[in-house]
Amino acid sequence: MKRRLYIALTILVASLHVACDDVTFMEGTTSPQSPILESTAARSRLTTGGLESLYEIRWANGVPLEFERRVVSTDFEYLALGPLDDSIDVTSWSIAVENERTTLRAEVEGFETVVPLRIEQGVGTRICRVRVKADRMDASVPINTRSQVDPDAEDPTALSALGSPTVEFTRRRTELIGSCPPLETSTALNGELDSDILTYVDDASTKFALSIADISPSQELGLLDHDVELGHVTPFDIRAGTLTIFSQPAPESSRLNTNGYTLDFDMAVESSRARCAPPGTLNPADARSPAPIPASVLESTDADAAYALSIRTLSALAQNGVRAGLGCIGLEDGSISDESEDAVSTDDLDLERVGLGELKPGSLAVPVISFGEFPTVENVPGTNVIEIGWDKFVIDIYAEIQGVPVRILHLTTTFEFALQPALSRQGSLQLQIGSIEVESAEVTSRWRHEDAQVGDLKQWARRLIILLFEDRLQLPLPVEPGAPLELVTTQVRDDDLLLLLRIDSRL
Amino acid sequence: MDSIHTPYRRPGSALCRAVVVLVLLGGVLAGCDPSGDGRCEPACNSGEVCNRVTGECVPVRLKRYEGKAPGRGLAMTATGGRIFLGAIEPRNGYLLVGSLSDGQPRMYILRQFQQVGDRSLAMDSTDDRVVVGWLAEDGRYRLATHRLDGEPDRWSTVQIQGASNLDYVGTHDFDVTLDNSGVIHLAFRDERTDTLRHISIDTEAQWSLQDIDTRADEGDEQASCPDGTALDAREGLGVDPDLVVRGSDLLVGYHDRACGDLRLARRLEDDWAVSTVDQGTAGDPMGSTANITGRHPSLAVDSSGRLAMVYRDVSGSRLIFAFQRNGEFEFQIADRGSELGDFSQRRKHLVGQFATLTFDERDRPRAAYLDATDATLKVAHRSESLDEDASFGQQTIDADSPNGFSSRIVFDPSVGLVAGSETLSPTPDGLASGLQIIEDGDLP
Repeated sequence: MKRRLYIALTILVASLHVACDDVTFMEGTTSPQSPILESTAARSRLTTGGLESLYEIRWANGVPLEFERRVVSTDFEYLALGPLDDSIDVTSWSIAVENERTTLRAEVEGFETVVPLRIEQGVGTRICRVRVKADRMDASVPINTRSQVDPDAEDPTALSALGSPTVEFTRRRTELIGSCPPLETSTALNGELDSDILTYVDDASTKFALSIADISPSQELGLLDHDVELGHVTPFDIRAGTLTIFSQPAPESSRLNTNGYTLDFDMAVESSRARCAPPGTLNPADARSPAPIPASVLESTDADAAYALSIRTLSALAQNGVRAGLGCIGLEDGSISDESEDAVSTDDLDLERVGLGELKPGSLAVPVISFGEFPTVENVPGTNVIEIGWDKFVIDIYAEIQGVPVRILHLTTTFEFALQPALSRQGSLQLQIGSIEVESAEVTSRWRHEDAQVGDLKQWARRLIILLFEDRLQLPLPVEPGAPLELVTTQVRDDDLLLLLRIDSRL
Repeated sequence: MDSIHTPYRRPGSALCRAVVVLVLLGGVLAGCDPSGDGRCEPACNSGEVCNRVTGECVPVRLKRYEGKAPGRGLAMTATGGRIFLGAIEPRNGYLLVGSLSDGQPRMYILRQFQQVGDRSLAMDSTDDRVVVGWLAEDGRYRLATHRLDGEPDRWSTVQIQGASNLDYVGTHDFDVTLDNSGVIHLAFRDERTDTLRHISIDTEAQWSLQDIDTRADEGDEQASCPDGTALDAREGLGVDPDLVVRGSDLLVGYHDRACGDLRLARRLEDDWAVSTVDQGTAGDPMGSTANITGRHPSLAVDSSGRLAMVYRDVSGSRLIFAFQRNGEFEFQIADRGSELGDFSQRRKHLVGQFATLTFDERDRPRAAYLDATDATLKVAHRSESLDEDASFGQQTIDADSPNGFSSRIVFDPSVGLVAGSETLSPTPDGLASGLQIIEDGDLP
């Protein structure tokens, strides 16, 4: 089971503090239905520099230099070269685009490989080894998307070699390793045998050059290009639902051109309802595809990659996340302690404001979240703000009375908060609360005496939301854990949220 | 001859009258004078007083408590058509005992605690006696008894011979029961060792102390938490023990805090056999043994001698009912802790604290417990006896203020079902403890 974190899901997941350990990931889906995919729900772009970095990462452990055994004709009864089973470390990668033709170049400083020779003469067999060295190896191969190479290819969005590669060596020579008595008495090494060995290495290098082209940028970046199903792991069965994300590369959307690589995705989101979720119908934002990602955006921000997810998909994921029960959280270990991630001090709750000043509960409290309606997600272009609206958002606060966790108050509120994406540590996007507007707030409690004075509940609710969610809204990046990506910046555009990312092979 | 005769009072007559007067006076004085001739030999124990008239030691007469009955640490027991109560008045620290009279509590002050804290009480009864137990400030348990044929305000403190020699430190995790031979049994978690132990006091006030479960017995399969379910930083055995007598058997259910499990110990002659009843998967084959379960167990025995228990599944925040059938335990969910929310969605309720179990006149299990989400008393009722397959229904017993704390439910053939709980009324001065009694007609 491979874990992947997806931006659209995790807006809500992060908002409501469901931890990664509370979600199961499954590739593929158990859903029997084939949904209608939203066309071009997401776009991605990779610069040529980013692509170079991906190749570097892809082949960080060396590129195989392999070739089968080859028998050559010599004076010996039997002489075979190989097999080759080596790995070559590429010193640098570069991509050049000329006349709409993209060429991948791999430079190897200090090329070296060892070719085994199997010599049979009479009853004896001798294995000798010949080192082939060169000051430099330059391999170049034209590349393109597989859909251009072979329309029927598996994974048409991946890149492969288009045409024959070129491999050149600088100051290539051979040298015998150790002694090889059969050759010492023969002049073959300096003649045809030497030529055979170099031809053998040429052929292996051609195969090498062809293989280096193979890469799937979307998989290397961990972008969602297949279906996944996420389930809420919870001891409370009423909170157990599933969220399914259907995704596939948009047909004929993978392109390799002057400015790099682009790929679009068609997506759909569905969920099986957890019983804690509201029973209504979903109403995600209107369908509009993300705008194309201009290369200039990446250049101006020094980003290697960009990912734009439509607001509609964000909205669908948020609503389906709620429907799947991912937002129904709190008190899943049945206790209140300082080990509880969501615990807050009761002193910080300002209970007096809600007429509970005389209650004197235990020192810690935990919130339990549930929903009366599905959230709305809207963007505010030009402000870098995403607004999430919650109608009938329910927070139950539990604290200890006589050592027993009890609900001390019940808040139902309608509010909207504006979130601003901000930079954060590697692997995540911090969502800062820019503003909160509370439209209504109602607090009920059996623990309030009848003469208790109650203050401004909207203000109190606003303060509570900040207390519970401020600095806790993290949006994991849509990449596999450990992927060498860091967030450069974000933009909220007319119809999408754009993430600009840098690839760092050192990470 | 005339002579004047003064009647001559025979000195004997006057003396006789004086003697009679003195005797009578002496008798009267003897009756009034506490240091009169009716001594109690041997001297009465602490907790009893000497009736000088009869020369017998009698239980202390307790002072009547006139205030509103509280419900803190509520203990209840039913016997002989009467419901006996024990409770703590948190503001003054009074330990109150008494009974219901016409549905109203009549309470007496047994003693006064210096600090109330998390105090709890345990109570049990037989046909002729009621016993109540509590943990004193010195970490030792104290017991008091009341004879059903005695005056309602007469209670005796149980003296334990050589009690100071008992090597233990008590905790608030304890329970008390009486067996049919009049022996008092006390199961408790020892604070020093975090193990479950047993004290018995016979009718001669002779005691014995033994270990029930120490998790250290060689060959004990319970020696370590099964399947690595040990909970770091949680230690302790014998939390929330509940004792019950079944014929000549003594059984105690309790929570194993280290492993998060429910355990059952059964006394076999002088030894105890321990088994794990629920590791966290009862009623849920897909559940995990890492779940925490078995808090607040309450044991009861039906008319056929079948053992049953209710307890709180902490991880699932639900109430589980378990009963023995053919030597194995079967499990049912008595309350899933799931209610319809304000907006037609299902909302999780925390249920099961203070769980207590009894059987009614038709041998149907009845459990009372706290719904901590709504702060109400709930009663779970099985529609049939254990001879039949049946499910549980639940009913909320609401009150004007939060209730359900220290919930209890008992059954007496003459009185029927009676449930009780502490109410906590919010006031400007904090929460005021009260007592809620619900009688048979108002229970499901």
